[in-house]
Amino acid sequence: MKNNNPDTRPVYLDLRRIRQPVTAIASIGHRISGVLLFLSIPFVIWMLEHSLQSPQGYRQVAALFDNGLVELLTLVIGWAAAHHFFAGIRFLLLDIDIGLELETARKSATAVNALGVVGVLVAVVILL
Amino acid sequence: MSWRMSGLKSWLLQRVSAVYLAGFLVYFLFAMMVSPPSSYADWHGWMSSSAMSLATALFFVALLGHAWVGIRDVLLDYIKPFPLRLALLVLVAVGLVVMALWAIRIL
Repeated sequence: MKNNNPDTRPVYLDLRRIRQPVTAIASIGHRISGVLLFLSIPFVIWMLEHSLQSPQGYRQVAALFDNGLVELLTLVIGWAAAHHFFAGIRFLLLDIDIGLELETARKSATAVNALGVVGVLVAVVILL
Repeated sequence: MSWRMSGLKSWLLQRVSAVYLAGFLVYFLFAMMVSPPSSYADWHGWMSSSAMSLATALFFVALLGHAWVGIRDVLLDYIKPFPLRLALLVLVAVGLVVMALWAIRIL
């Protein structure tokens, strides 16, 4: 007889074994990128302020992007901005009933996840 | 409007602000690619034109409103203990108000 004892059933809480559907990855990516973008706001305001204050401030802000850490953070924000932008458009379309079929929803989620990576590549090109 | 409407209001705010943010971002990146500012005078002149000042001010209004709804949703979903949840919500709200005042001051 099959053992249905709850204590002996496998529990897949191992992060290396959990496979989330592609739509779930696009969704959690939208949240994570949103939080990252929120955290970047003070830095963006600071850069805007300094770059507009004086020619020295403008040069200082431009010179910031020669720093390795700043470049790395720019790549992270490049991903976050691109993913959040495209995932947001996808959600707006889902709101008006476009792309609700499972196959289409999977394809659009895959596209969103890929476009997030494209955002990193665009940031690399801009930094170079 | 009653408190009962607040869910619908934030739902709508999130979407209206999203559309503006997306439009502004596309325009800003497009303008930066077509004619990147070559100097401080160039950059300052562009950003302080009345159209760009207004568009940027609106951008920050939309951005901070959008951030409030989004971060509030994330905190409500993941932070269960009430005192911690309240403390974080207050912290985010104060932070956003400070950022709004700061952004207004430089524009």
